[in-house]
Amino acid sequence: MAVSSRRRAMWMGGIVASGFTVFSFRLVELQVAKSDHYRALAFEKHSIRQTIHARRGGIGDINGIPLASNEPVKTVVVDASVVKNAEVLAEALSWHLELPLAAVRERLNKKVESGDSGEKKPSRYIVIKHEVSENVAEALAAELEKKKVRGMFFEQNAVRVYPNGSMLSHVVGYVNRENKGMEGVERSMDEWLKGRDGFRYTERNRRGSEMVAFRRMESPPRDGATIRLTVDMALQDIVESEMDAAMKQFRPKMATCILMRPTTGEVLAMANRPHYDLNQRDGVPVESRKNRAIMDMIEPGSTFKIVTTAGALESRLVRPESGIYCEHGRFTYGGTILHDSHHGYGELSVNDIIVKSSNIGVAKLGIMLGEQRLYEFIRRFGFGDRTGVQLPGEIGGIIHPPSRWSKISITHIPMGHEVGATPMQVVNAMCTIANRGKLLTPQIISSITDAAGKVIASYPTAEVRQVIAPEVAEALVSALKEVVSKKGTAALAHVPGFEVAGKTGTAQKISAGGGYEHSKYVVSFAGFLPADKPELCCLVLLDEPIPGSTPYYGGYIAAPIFSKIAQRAVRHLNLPPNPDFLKLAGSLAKNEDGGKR
Amino acid sequence: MSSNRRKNANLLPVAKILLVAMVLLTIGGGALYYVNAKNEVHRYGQRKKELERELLAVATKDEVVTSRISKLCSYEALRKRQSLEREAFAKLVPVADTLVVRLQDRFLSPVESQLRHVSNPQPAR
Repeated sequence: MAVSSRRRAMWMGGIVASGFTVFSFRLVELQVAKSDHYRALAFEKHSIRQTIHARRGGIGDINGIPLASNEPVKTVVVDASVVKNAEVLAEALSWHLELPLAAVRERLNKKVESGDSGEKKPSRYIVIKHEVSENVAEALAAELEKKKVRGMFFEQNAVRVYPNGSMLSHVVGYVNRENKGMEGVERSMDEWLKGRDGFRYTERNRRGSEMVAFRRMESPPRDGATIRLTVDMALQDIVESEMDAAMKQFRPKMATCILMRPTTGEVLAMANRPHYDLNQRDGVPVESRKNRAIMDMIEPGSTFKIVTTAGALESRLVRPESGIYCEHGRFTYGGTILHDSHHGYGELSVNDIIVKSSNIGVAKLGIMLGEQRLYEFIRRFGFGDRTGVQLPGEIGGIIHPPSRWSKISITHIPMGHEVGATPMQVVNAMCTIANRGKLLTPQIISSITDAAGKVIASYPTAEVRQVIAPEVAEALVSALKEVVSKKGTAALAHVPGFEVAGKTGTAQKISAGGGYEHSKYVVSFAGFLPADKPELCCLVLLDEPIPGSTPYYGGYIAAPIFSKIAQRAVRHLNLPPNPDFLKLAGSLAKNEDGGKR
Repeated sequence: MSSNRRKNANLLPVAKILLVAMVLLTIGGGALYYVNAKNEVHRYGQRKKELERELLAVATKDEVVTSRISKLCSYEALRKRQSLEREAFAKLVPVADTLVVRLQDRFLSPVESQLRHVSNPQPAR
């Protein structure tokens, strides 16, 4: 080879080698030195973060009957940029989704400004309708496929449905559009119910389809837990139907009924009136959404006498048979006159003060107890504090300390005036007596199970404190049994085959201008059965009933409702009747007029 | 014979050629296998996606049916049906208390051969 050609070859080799060296340097720079930067850019361009939505957990009663569940629905969306035959699409959408054709056409013709040029282009994302049922969506998709119309797609969603509509509405509650619990158990147990969304990083191809092979980091969703309530829907149905009947008969402004198992504190049924349909909430007034059993404050009236009497007995100031002079129905204290309704009594035993519901008798027990001790007993029974039931918005009521009491408060508070209590507190106090002095936390949640059905939390019976000695509670139970007898105020609360213990309440309502209304009452009855081994405790409370020809007392209005509910409830719970009380019930039935209040 | 007079022969380096061919074949085969495997991965990915879609569709249908069953079995639905039937001929008659028989716990005799109660005491009517 000549020298010149060898030189040329060397030059060429050198140039090629230099070229490769430059490219190699660039490659090393891209692949090694700046690899993180470019990897991040590529990842950003091609990968997407998909959210995998968790399913909201369900709510069921104690037997697993669904009270809240999810129903899959679809959102109909149109990408107008790919629609070829808009008229056919509009007609199909209008027909299947029951929308006016003109409105659909208008939506399909919607144009949006393009980002760069400002030119108007058909919108790529037009929501036609939310919450379309699966059947309708299927039919619509089939028709469009048949007619070969492109441009419509579905987005999968779910709506919360409440199969029992208005039943137990205040307890179950509801969720908003974002699936967030707004009321009831839906709100109080939202953290358990909502679960946790999962996610996945994946890549898309040029057409925007997911490339499953390039899925990267993935975290599966954790579905919401299922909440099982202590409520038994069969008992709830009984309570609701009796409440409906009472609403028809007495037309009260509002009514509440709570059914509990005193030995465990479980709430077996809870109903309020007015109520509302959980599936049709639009336009429902706030007042109807209120769970009055825990949010309404009432003056409990005579049912509160159990607290004062329990205090006097526990402090050993009196015995059940001790005589108290009841001033023949007219007692002057602190410059005001206190009356006993209807009857004036001479001397009554402590037992009879409860049986006859004497205001003067119980006021004297209050005076004997003294302000501080009476206040302490009221608080020990749980008044003035939230009961702790697992429902949102519970209030604690109002119990003023003795420093804020007036001269006559010591005679009014013992009979349930000048105190603000919730119906739940009243029924829980009655449960305390039934439970031989043990105050329990009311429970409405029985257990929480995960998506696999494994119990992850349960709520055992929670004792708050021993309020009074069991012997004192026993003495009170004896008196309360007599209340539901022909000599007591609640003869109409009797349940054939069962011995019932309970107390009536008839409280005048506070007037807006001060003092008390003379024709507006809150009537109630709180009782339990069987008296010696309680299985059920129930409160029936009606605000401003229109009694018609019936006297306006709790013994005449609330006690019969209690009786009807209890008769049906014991049959459902299969409680064996005691033949002795079948006979007693027969004699009582003939003496219904013997009941006073 | 001197080496200068030896006949020149173009010997083929068969071993080397074979080695190169083997290497090239291995590389080529490996590359083809790699491409095929990649295609398989994508195909299985698509299949996985289809199965996920089918599973979702089945789960959705299950949820729809479950929701429908719970609606039809609800107390609210039962009440509506009851009120309809009250107006129609198929009337539901409540069971009277006197017709309810409550069974007590089985009487356990300490002696196996002893006669046992076979009926419950009847409540007074």
